[in-house]
Amino acid sequence: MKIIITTLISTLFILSSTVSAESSLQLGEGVNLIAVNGKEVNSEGLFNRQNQFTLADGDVQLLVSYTAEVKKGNETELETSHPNILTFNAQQQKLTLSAPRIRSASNLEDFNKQKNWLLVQADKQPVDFKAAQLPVSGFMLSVDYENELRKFNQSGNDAAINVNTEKLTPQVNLDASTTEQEVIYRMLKQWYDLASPATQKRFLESVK
Amino acid sequence: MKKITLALAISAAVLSQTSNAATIYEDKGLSFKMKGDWQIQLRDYADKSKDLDVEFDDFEIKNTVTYDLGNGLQAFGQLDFSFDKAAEDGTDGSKLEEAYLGLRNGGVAARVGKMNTAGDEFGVEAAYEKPAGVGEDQFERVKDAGDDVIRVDAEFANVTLSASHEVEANDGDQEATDLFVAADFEAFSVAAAFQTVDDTADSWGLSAEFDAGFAKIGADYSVSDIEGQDEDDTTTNLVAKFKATDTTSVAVGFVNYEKNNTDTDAWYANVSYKFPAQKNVKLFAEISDSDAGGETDVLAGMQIKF
Repeated sequence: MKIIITTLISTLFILSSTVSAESSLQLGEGVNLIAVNGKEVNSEGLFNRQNQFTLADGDVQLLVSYTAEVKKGNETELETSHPNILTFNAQQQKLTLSAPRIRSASNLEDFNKQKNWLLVQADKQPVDFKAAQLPVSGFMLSVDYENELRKFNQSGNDAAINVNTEKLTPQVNLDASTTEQEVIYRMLKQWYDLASPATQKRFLESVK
Repeated sequence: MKKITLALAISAAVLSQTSNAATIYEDKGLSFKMKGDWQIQLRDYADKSKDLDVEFDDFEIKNTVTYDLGNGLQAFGQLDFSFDKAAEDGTDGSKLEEAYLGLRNGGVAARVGKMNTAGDEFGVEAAYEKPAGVGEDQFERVKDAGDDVIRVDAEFANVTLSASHEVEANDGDQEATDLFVAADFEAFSVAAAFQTVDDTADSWGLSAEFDAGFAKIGADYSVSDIEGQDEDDTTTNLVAKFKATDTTSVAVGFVNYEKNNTDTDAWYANVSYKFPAQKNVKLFAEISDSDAGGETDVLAGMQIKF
């Protein structure tokens, strides 16, 4: 029993170390990062905006939009895409997120429909991601993105993830009467609860 | 009892973001956007005055409404108010620059009202202000807007087509028809335009732009056959645009303007700085000179777009 528990603790320690490893994210020109894993991103200084970010490895959910300069006559106008949710798995990668070339309002309309963001690794290999439009409506001047993302993440959408902080600090209580299989069962259940709907679905398919 | 706590690191070290709040309201297929283009500049316009002046170039507020009608069809309308004249000389109220309604289906849009003509799409010129004695191109010189305009714009893959017709109305405007076509091939783009304005002029023009990576280079040439004038009037533009850093860009241009047998050469150079936190906010400065002006013109200003 002790051996099993020690093994479990060691395994969890190793796994948690892996999970806390980092990836980097570079934003292309015009890409606006609104939130990461359900948390809104704060603005900062005028002259030193960084477009390089660090992401904890594992399932990552970004809320992003894209602002394009669209030529209209002899002027350019700024047009911004719908806010999009992108969910992917990061594993110690150098990622770059950009948008395809958009030169007209019609291009932007297509981009809104296709959500064909370009998420690539350092070697330009594309990274698989799930995309969805954040379903917001009404007056848009003061959208509570964290609240909207919370609602979205309970929707069961493929791009939803589990970022409930209470669930992310699970506790497994063990006592003398706890059997080996009971410990394993509780651990499996905790990991399953922590997984995103997409990961849960993948797991269920793998054990069929 | 043993307690195992597993904490996952979920927070990301995130530092900044930008977002644009042009969309005011969006629900049930209705979208209301407000856009603005505000520009103010300190200008020493040697051709007009030797004193430094504060000029209000664009002070526009655009209101755009879009209704989703289903099956890919959209109804849209725009009202564009400009306040630069009110700010400049104390004129009461605003000037209506655009007022139109239209329908869009995919890449094809048709609209009717007060707007720029299709020929206004032509040109590569990149100056903040025209150097003394020259124009942007022949379409801008002859006619680039009207208030009785029917216009159709269509996009097919890498080709853009625009056609407009201004009907001869009671306000005395001449009937005018414009055609504009542009094709985009990755780093290279070309465009052509034609315009005929009753009893005034027939104009045509060709332009090309090439993105060489380190710089974008463009050229255009436009000609007007003016009614009652023996010689054609022409405009030639050469432009090079460089991106010095992520936030700073530089443009230099040469203009040759031949009007009624008078040949004028002009050049300009400008630098623009966009704030990293908000690309909507820009500082700029420009210097220009021409055969027609007495001294070199200089200006510096700020622009906010949203």
